[in-house]
Amino acid sequence: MTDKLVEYLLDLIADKEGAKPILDRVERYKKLPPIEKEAESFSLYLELEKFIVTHKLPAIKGSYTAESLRNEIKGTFGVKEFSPRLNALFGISGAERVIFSEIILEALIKQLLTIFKPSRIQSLIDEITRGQPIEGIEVKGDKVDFSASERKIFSVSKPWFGLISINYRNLISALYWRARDELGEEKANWILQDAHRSVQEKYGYLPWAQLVIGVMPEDFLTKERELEVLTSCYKELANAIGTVLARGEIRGLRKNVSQSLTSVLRGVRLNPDGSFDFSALPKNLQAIKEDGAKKLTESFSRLISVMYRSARDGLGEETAGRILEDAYKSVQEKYGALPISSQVLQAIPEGVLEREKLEFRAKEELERGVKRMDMLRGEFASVSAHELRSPLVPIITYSELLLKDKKHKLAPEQKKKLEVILSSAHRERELVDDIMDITKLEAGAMRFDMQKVQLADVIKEAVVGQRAAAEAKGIWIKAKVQRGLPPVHGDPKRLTQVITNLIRNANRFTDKGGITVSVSSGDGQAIVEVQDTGTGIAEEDLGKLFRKFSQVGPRREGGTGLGLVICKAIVEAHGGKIWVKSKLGQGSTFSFSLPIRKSGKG
Amino acid sequence: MIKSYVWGVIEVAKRIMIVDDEQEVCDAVKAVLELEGFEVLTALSGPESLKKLQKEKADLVLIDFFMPKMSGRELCERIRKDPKLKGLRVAFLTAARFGDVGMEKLRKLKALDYIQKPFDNDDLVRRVRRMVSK
Repeated sequence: MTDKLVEYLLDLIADKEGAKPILDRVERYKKLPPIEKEAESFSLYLELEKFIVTHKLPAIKGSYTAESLRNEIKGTFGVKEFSPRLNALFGISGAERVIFSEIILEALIKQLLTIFKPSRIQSLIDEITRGQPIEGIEVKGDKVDFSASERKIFSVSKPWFGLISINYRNLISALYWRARDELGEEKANWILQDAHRSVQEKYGYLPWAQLVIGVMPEDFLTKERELEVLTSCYKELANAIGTVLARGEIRGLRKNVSQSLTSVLRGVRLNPDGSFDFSALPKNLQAIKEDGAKKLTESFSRLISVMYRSARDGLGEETAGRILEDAYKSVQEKYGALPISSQVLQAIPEGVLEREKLEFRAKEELERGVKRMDMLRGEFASVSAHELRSPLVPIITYSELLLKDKKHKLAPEQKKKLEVILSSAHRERELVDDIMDITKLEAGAMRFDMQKVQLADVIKEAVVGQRAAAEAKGIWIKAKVQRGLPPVHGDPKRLTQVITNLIRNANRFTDKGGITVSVSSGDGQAIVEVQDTGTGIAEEDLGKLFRKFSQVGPRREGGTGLGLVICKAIVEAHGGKIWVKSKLGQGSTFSFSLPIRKSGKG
Repeated sequence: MIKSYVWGVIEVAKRIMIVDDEQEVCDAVKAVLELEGFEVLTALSGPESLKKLQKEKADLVLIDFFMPKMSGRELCERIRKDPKLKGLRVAFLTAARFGDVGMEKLRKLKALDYIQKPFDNDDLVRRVRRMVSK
């Protein structure tokens, strides 16, 4: 199937400019042993698809959507349904996201290449991606080669697109911050903005830009900027329609239009030439609370539908439709596809803007589907967690009862065995919790309850919770907390979980001395450190630490092999990084950073 | 069941009802609580629990969240609607995690606590004591 797919897509690009490297790669692919072939075929497929998308090849009529490509392929092969894996590849959350991430990343790297040496950028990328699914990105001349990282992504049995896009976003973010450290904020912003603009110019505003925004560092592409683009799209659209209508001398147009200028459009004036004077439009749309974009779309939709209706009454349906379509197309050429709301849709008759309407409905449907999927996934996770945990109740409860039964004392040997049962059951419980967390993090279904958090409080809570366990082992534990640290933005429960996990790890591997948890701040970030005087970690094992089920050294009591993976995913979801410094026999220090928001933001 | 007789005051044992669709879970919780001097009723489903509550009073009902036929949430809602059961103390004893169920839901259902399964016996007893003494 994948072979066929590659062949099919290959046909599409065979005679296109710039296709040579891909064709060469296909030749190499054909000679691979079967076992390597599968992983490579997905990567190759991705590259083919990227080529088709970036060259806007006619295979995909109109604008590219995963759905259209999927249907095209289904039709060609007479396939009714895709396998789950192929479906994942085609899903909007899947390959598309990888493609978009790579496009924006490539643009950013190109911008950075004008300032940094390629070798420097390469070493930055290597440093940031080490041990991650996206490891292996190569800067070649002014091109970026993603094939090694893609091969890696698709060689795992189920590509975790959620994590991969987080990885890409983190890489973009890290490159941006590095540029900012060295070049200052203003220049770094320009670099990112230029990269963003170059992508936008090439691929249009929507749906591309939205996905691109999804991979931008949070601090950079704020809602304000998003709104800026949306606003200029709408302004141009209104002006384009208005100026055409003004020539038509339509009765009542001026009055109707004026009446429809409400909400955020209050105070906007219609000029004699049919264009609008938007100087009264609020400069800072963000000030209209969270749904600024919604209000903006609603208001402009109302205005556009009113203009369209007036045009239809005065000039007839066909002409009005054409005016609307022309205006729409002219704006679209400049900015890419525009979002249209249901209000505009209702006003437009059949046959006009047909494709846009379809896209709008498909998008709505997709959003509904995604919401439903998330809900189902969450439900599934809760129910299966329930099923897994319930049988542990009698095991733990009865073991504890037997151990504490004063009437019937157990023989030491029996007691020992029962204690093993009890501790295994406890470990099982931890494992279930961890697997549920991982499942949710991977699916991107973990909900974070973000708020202002004082790290000192979080650390205290974690240390207090773990004090008994440390004391039972005869080691000390202390918290060293700087006073008056600025708060970070995060989910206190999840951050406590991260610190607790790190302390438990430290406890597990420390027999003498103790554990110090400290926090410091500087350079726009807070750094939490969990330092122990334990056995330490051999250098060759350091890289394995943050992978699933890869406990290093002798297996110690407890531990699921998932703790650090969860910590990493949680920290990264907060926009931070986690790392470790250690030497065999000299203890370990696990640290993670969290960005500090400047006051007034977030 | 009379728990103790001190200075002429009779202290009646508090009665706890456990609602869980798994017999083993009911029995285990029952064993722990009885050892601590509580009187324990069990019900394997929501309807059974409602039926028993019509006849026998309970000081606290511990409800599992996921049960076939009638969910713990639904059972709790029914209890809240029944004028006869006004003011009945309710808590959840469930394997669902806190985040999944949500504080909001608990508050809406006027549940006193939320005990995660599997639990530590001591912790369960401590929390049950606290709830019935309120």
